[in-house]
Amino acid sequence: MSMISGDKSSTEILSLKSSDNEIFEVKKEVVLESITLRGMVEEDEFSDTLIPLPNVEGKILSKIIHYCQKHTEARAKVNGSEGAADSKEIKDFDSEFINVDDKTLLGIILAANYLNIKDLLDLGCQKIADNIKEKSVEDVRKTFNIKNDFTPEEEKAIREENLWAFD
Amino acid sequence: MGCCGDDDGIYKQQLIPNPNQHDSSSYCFTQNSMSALRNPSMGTPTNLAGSSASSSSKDVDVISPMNSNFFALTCRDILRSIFERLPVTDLARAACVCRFWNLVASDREIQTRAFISPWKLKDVIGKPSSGSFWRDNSLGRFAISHHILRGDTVASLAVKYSVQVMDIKRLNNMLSDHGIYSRERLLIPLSKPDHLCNRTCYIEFDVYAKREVAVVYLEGGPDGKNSCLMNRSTTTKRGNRRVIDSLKRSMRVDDGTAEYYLSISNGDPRAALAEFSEDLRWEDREIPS
Repeated sequence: MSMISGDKSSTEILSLKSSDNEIFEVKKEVVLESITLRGMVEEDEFSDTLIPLPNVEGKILSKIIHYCQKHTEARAKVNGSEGAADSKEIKDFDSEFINVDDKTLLGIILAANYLNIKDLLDLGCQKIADNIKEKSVEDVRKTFNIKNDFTPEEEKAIREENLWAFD
Repeated sequence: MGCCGDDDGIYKQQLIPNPNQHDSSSYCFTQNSMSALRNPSMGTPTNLAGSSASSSSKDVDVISPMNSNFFALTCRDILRSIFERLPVTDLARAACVCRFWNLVASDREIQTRAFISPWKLKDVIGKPSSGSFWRDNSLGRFAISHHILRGDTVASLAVKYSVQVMDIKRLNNMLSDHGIYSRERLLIPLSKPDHLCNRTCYIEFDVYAKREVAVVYLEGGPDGKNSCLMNRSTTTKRGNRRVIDSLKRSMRVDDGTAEYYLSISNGDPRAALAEFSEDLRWEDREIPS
């Protein structure tokens, strides 16, 4: 874990700045949930200053911080053992947490990818996968604003190949 | 959606905003395109952040993935993570959404994973002649390969594998109950998925079934009948020589080629033959124009 002076790390507060200049004060242990940030912090570059996160907007960042806080607390309760992520409390929290609109969901995924928070990324991707299941191709396009860029011939060929999926 | 800060250069991808685009446009920008978007008629960046409701209702202009605010879905790694969790039919539908999705959804690893996961298969070997093979992983796609032994009848096999005689005959295109001894093996349909658990299946084109089937060998490998022989013979040099010679005859190739195929199939001659015929089929495939 962090190599910076042991006593300070548990109560040290770091500041994160979102793309829209919102500043969040976060406990260091919570920040360390993000592997990306852990790397920055351990290199000691940001121990006194602000960590700017220009690709994460405030609304998303605050959600992410909330998630990390909750998970850090849960892990502390079971003393860092493996069972933390599986407790019912955390599972309930996770499903509440990820129950957001598609735009926010994608924002969370992008940010979790950039910040390298594996559990959150998995949670987000699973949710999107669940959203995609059962949707028709047109619905998926509408939901995610995706343009159909196939030529008519291509589309025909691809539909034939994937005939099974359409009933 | 979130935007990059003014001094940002992290997203190297240049996204060229369409001047007709409304505010539900690209998630991330380079510095140049940001200025185009700060056009008052399109709303300020803070509007972009908060307006989740309005943008999704204004989808009159259908936007290409590169310009959509759902930039996440054009990021290959993220899309892969999502597709890895989709079952076969949903993966097939995803492949129809747009070119990029088609590319990612057609990745062999992702297709294989979706194909084998509900049956808890260990692996699938071989290359089907068309991608549509992967889109259906119902039990009908699979079959057990039963090497015919003296004394076997269709009825005895039906009992042995708990299936109907009709189903065996239908799968193998048999008009009568007799004449199975002219065949090396019969394909047995699967009545329940237990036989698939933890096994490897081989995609083979069966000449009697007249289609590609994912075949499971219960005796261990594609060359079940020779498996004890194989173990003995390949450990001796002479034995190995015999296997190579036999392969050379079957494949009509030289030493080097036969040895290559044997080595990539872990010393299993039947698997080597399967690999070889797959490669031939690959070479002969029709390139879609």
